[in-house]
Amino acid sequence: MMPNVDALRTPHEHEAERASNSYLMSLVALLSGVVLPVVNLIATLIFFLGNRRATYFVRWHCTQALVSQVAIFLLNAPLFWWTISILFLNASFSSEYVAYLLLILMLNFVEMVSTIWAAIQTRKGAHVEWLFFGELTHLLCRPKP
Amino acid sequence: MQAEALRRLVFSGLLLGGLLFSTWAVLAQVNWRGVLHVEEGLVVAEAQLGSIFLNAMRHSEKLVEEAAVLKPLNRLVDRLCAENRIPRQEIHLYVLKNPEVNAFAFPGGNLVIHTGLLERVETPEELCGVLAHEIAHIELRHVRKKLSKELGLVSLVSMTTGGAGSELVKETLKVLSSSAFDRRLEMQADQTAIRYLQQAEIDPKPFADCLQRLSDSNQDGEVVLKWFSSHPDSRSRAKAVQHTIGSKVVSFRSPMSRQEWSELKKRLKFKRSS
Repeated sequence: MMPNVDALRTPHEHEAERASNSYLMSLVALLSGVVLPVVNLIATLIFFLGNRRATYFVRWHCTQALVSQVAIFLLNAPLFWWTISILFLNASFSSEYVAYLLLILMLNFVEMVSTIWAAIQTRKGAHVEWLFFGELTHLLCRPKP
Repeated sequence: MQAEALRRLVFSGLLLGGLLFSTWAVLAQVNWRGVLHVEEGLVVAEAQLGSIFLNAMRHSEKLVEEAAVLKPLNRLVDRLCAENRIPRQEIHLYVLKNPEVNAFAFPGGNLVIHTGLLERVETPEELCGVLAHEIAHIELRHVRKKLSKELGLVSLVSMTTGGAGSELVKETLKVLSSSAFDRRLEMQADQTAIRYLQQAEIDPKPFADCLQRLSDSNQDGEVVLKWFSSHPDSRSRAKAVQHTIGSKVVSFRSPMSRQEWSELKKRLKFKRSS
């Protein structure tokens, strides 16, 4: 058991609301109809920067939202450029491309569902940790002394 | 504590990374091009592009429609296709009244030859070599590759959906008629053309001689030899073709009788003066 998890277990109402909003930021682009994933990342980053002095619970969830968005962005970006090279340059429309496209679509769908679920759970005051991103967030985000 | 946290991080990272990679690897095993009927779609798109270019060509150029010129040429194409099991309906031959020594292929299996080139070649075997070369470009899908490289898929799609203006179509036709494919594709077309000729029992040596002869003329500054000036390095191509032919002694059959050939030449001279 990670010692700082105890500090995440009993958030106040306003903390739960702010933490939940950090996940909702990554859905901003979807809701506004914009397809570029970089908008999600920018929105989450702005929210993260705006909550640097918030409580540990809020900071922790802002960090988890941010690192997961960075990962999604890093996985989406090659697909974007691969698509550009097929459309405008001479790259081949290969099975590997379609496989990567399907993988990214599935990943984005899973990410969207996970984000909505995390937003709901966090709003209720529950602590949600994602595989890998939870561990990374524990390393990056410490409770204030 | 820190070490434990790092260990958990690395383990979960490897697990997640492994899961993503293996999912991609499994999905990549599927032949998506077949599943999505990409080839069929490309064939349809190519045929559409061919019609668009043909219409543009009919408006801007003068097509020769005289049977006395077209029939013997089509018989040459018939023989090359029949002996090489190329579906004849895939190749459409057009002759343009144009003094430029040029021949080119455009999408949809369309092959265009200028009267300038027909007048310049000295034997039916030389002409068969040029036809075989252009048929090779069509069969090896070089035209489609060249178009997608020069224009990109977006412009091609806009052309097939009617979104492109007539200027883009004209410019594209100009690109197809005036510039060669890259060196690798030209060499491939030459090798394939020799195979086609040999299979049809047509002597490929005159084709090599023609490349050599006309590239020499081109060095002297004749600018009308477009087919030779636009194709890179005709002299080394001639050498490569001669090397491929080698010294094999094979029996050949003339593709056209002397009488037919001189009749054709007479018709072309008549057309030029009319």
